[in-house]
Amino acid sequence: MSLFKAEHIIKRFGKHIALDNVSVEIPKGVIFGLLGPNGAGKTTLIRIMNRIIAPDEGQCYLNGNPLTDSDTARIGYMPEERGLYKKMGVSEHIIYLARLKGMSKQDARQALAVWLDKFDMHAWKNKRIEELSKGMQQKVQFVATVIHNPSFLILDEPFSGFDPVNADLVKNQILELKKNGTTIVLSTHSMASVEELCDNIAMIHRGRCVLDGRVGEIREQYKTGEYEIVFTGNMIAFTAALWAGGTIISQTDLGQGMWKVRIRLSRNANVNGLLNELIHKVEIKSLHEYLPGMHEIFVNLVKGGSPETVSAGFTE
Amino acid sequence: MKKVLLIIGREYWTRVRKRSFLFMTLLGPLLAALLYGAFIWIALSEDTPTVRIGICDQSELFLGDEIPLQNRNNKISFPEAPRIVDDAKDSMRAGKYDAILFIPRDPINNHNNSFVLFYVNRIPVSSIKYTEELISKMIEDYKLKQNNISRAQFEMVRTRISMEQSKVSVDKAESDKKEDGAPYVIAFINSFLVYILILIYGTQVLRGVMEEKQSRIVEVIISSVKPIQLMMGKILGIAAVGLTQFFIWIVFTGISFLVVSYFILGFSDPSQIQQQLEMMGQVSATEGMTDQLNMDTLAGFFRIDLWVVLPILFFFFLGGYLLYSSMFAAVGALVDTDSDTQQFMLPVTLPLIFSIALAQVALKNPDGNLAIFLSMFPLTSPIVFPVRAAFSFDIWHLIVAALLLVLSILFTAWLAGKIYRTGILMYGKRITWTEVIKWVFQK
Repeated sequence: MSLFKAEHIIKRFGKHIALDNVSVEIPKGVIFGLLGPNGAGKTTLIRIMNRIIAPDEGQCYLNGNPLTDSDTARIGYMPEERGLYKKMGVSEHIIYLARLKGMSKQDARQALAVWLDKFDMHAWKNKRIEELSKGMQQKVQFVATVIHNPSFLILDEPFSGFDPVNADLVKNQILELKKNGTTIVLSTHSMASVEELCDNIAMIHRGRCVLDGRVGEIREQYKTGEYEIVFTGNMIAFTAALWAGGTIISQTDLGQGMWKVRIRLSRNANVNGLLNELIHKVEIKSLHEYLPGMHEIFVNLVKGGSPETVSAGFTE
Repeated sequence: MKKVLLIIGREYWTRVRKRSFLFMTLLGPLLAALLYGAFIWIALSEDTPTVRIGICDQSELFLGDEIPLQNRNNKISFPEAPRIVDDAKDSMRAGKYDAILFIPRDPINNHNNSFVLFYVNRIPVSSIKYTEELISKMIEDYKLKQNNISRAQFEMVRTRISMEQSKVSVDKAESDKKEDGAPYVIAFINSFLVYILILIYGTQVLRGVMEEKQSRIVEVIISSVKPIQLMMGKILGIAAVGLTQFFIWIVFTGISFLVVSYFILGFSDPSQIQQQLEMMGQVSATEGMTDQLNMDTLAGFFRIDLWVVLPILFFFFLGGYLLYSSMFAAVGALVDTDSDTQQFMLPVTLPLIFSIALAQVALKNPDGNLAIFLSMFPLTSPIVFPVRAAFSFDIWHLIVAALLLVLSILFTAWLAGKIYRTGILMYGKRITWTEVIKWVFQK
């Protein structure tokens, strides 16, 4: 069952088409990665999910019902460009945003106390935002995003601006929220965090959805029949044994007669046959199928387009 | 609606708690009271230090006579000074006199330019005026005596007129209204007050919107509320701040006026001040003295009907603010950086500046056609109508002006909302007027 569904979304800004017939479906309880180079239309899609702007055509559904204004209370949103009222106190600010999401003052206070604990923020709960460091402000922003316990959480580049310790803290909170049933959209350039956290992804490129599905399936789909083999023995013997079974893509001398080799299997060969040949010549330490990383898939897909968009937009 | 109230609350409290708000709110009435106190005190004061004008009389006509030593307004004494001018000057330098009045040998027949006042430091103009009038009067008396005319006969012949101004209403049932300089002063204060308040609070709306856009908090807020709710919440919240200040000003100014009147000036009732001032106006008129301050104008302030002027002032301040602040909000949404502000500010501030300039026209001729038009045209009425409010005006002018203003507020808010909701999300791009116009027609 999908929690959120966007169907045939079209959004134009003047002559520019920001989103061109984009459909995405976000299953309940997953972490959903929204990928794409800058200017691809991710932010526009996120704003439509939030009802900040309305699509020209198409329809969004939350829990199977068309998205309405009252749904915003169940959505939490942390934009990429963070901002808070500088003159407000930490608690005051978080409670204000929580109440805008429809929480009562009392509920907001209680929830705040829990989150202040989690992020160890009690000491500076009465400070003004402008007195905080950037990392502290980010924490405030994160708490303000999740305090009303949204069932649908949209995080745009949630880790940017955090030091590694705090980034881990946030990561763990995201995973905990997922465990508690929150569906999370993660828009990010960090492919490492996509592989680590995301169950599903969709990739937007030039206003179109060019790829979507489960991360594992996508990597499976983009695999190229490559294997990585680690062995001890003679490299020449290995090459001879391989012969027509495949081609060597790369080789690394690990020292003490140990090698790591990446090969592409020939069309009519299979892994078992290959092993059969190799096992007599060298001592196999490990063998596994090489799956392309999200980074590779991303770059390859984007490079299919014009190179300027890629170099201008993609920074990771 | 609950969310708009939340936004209004935040906008209100963050501003009211600021030290600058407290400062301005308390300082305003305090200054007004001080000004008022000083004004009345100077006007009625008999407590200025005595000015000693040494008489260096070459004619010997005046020394024998009793020169009146004091008058009510100006404490002046006229001690005798050495007849030799240089000696007199020396004693003045030594501090014996504040000034030396040199009276020529034959002041009766040849008095045009031979009277001289010597001084080291300037003495008050009022003292000079008084001395001039006194000496003139004494010469008059001398001439009257020579010609065998009594003072009473002379006063009977001498004529001085002063015109009272009285406004006649078109409606016969209404009684005539005495008018004087006071309404002009009130009218000027009215228009200036509304202008300044609109500018101050309009700019606060602009700054608030810009702050939200620049700090990017706006995106978080409008994921919870509609942009128009945020805009209206901000405008109304700041309006509440303005009204709070307005009321505190009125109340405190009233209180401090009373305090100044009762405890410092020692009047038990404002009407007493009015009477006193009117009396002094009459006294100085009959005495033939021209006072520095026109007592009658001063008294006129106490004749202004505050129950008419204040509500009108209040309404047009609020209306003008609502009209202009939504435009300021739209401008705030259009600009990315402070330096961009000017380009978009101008179309909003221009009508405001025009209004205050054109208010002078209305001030000169409050019942003229141009004044009537400006007092009803929505962009200028908030500033020009309060000018006319200080004088008498037709009630239907007020109704038309109010109606047009309310309609324009609704239209402007609608228009500004369209610009606002798009502009607030545009970053890093210079926005042109053509684009803005397109947004308005977008559905």
